[in-house]
Amino acid sequence: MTACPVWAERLVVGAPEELLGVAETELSRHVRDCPRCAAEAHKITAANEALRVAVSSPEVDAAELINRARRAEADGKRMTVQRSARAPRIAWSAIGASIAAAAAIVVLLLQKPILEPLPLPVPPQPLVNAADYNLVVMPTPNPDITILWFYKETEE
Amino acid sequence: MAIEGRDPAIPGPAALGELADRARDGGDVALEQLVSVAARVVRRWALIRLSHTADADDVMQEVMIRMIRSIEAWPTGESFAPRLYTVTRNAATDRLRRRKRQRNLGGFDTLLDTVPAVGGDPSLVLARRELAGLLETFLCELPHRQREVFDLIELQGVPAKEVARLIGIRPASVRGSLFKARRTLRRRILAAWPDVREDFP
Repeated sequence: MTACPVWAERLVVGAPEELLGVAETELSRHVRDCPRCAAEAHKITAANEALRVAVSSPEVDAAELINRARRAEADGKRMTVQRSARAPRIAWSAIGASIAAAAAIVVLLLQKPILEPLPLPVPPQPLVNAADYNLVVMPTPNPDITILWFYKETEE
Repeated sequence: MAIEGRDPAIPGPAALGELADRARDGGDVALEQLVSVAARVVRRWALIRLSHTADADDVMQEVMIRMIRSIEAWPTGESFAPRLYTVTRNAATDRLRRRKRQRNLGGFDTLLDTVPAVGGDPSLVLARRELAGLLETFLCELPHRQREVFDLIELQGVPAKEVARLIGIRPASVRGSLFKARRTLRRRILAAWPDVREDFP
């Protein structure tokens, strides 16, 4: 048996009260009047009921859960006390990191090439033999450029 | 058939908040009352999310122990249930992650056994169990958001507005998820089990 074609889509999204025919809606009134749609609606509500039973949770022993929680809490506190009473732990991770850093520095120092001494500077040589020349110094608007004009006077 | 209204065994978020306030102020009796109710709620949320009863039991115990140990620090009144839901969801998500790493279990495993047998006719009992298996499969195949909205509203009878507050999404999204879940699930139910009426007199 299938629902009326017009109502089939509304049945699959209707509220439970509508499917039971107890609501004052169009769908609910139709379910009350139409045996085919009532049968389809009954399948849906029956399936809901089965699911509700399937996912329902059993009773829980609350007292036992509370006891377990308190035991866990007590154990946690005892562990905290024991830890604080112990000798301080050696921070192996920090020591390891320091040793690694020191080793890296040593390796870097050993690998650094020894600097060759720079050659002694060559004694300055005159660019030109300007003994027989006159010199005119001409500054330019650019402070980085100065013109040095060497000239030689002749007999002519 | 008792579909209408809220499932009396499962209190709504407001009632849970009241129980928590009493447990905070009162003694062991009030706390025991809160735990017995909250444990069932939490287990059901976990079961709907995990689709696995043993994992749901583990999550329930983990959440309950955490709640009992720090009940003083938990929010009061109507904020209690959303907090409980968040803690449960996180614990269930952790469990799901671990389960994916360890073993690949799909679907409800022992829920089939929880469906009660009716009448003495073995064929009727078998049909009911078969139906339960199908329903569980259909429910498992819904996206988890649709699954939990469907359970909260359709099966537990929690109003959509309370569900929105509980799981922290907009009421319109809750209604959308419910609409999609109903449509998918019911279409499949009607297609797969045309004679269900005869099995549920």
